[in-house]
Amino acid sequence: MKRNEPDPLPGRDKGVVQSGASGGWPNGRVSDESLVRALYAEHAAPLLRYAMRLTDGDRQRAEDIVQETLFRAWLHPEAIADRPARPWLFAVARNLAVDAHRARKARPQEVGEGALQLVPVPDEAERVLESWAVADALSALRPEHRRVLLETYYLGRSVAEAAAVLGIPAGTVKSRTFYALRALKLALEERGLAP
Amino acid sequence: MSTTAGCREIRHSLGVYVLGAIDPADRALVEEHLASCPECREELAGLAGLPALLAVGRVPPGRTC
Repeated sequence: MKRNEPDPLPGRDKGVVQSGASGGWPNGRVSDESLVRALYAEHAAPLLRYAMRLTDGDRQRAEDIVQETLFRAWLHPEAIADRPARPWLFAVARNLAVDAHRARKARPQEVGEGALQLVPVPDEAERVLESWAVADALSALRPEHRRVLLETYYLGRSVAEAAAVLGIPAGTVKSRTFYALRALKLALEERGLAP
Repeated sequence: MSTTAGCREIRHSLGVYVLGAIDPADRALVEEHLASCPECREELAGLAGLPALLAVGRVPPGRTC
């Protein structure tokens, strides 16, 4: 069992932001763009301060943690739909920091930042655009498709684990994942990204 | 073995197969089927590039501000 995130709401598979919920999300189902903006406005600064402590002041790593945490919140709106968002966000950030720390210890020494600055990165802008196109394509999927991809891919759960978390049969996890990927492929093609 | 019924079930498994979420027993079944079924191999080829793109979406690069 992966431990990147606290279990959101076991057994629930609503996958939609509840309209009028009294939790972390403003105005129920708002557009993804304003959702992202609201998340950043409300939580990015305190999360960054927290992540800086988790990384012993390494700003780049702290920013990566903030990005990943907010990205997961955006992918997973129901996790914070009916309750205050911050405890969940901080728990995700903390787990990401712990996992990253373990991964670094298991790797040989990293190349220093000085050396990295000598490496040209002409495709940085392209990578940014690509990542947003992927995020945009994900946001165009039906909520249950996005949710099953979150479980099976982003959280690395097995079919059996995803079935337990979502409260659906294993066979449904399989077929839903298959149709989610087909839908994603179409959505990516519409955005000029042919897999 | 009925090929069409087999294909249908196998295709539903291809999603979790490319994402690496498939159970080991299912993986063996899928791979055995793929070895003898060009249509399912083609379906797989259509999905095979998706994990790499999902990985791009995982950590939006760049800075927070």
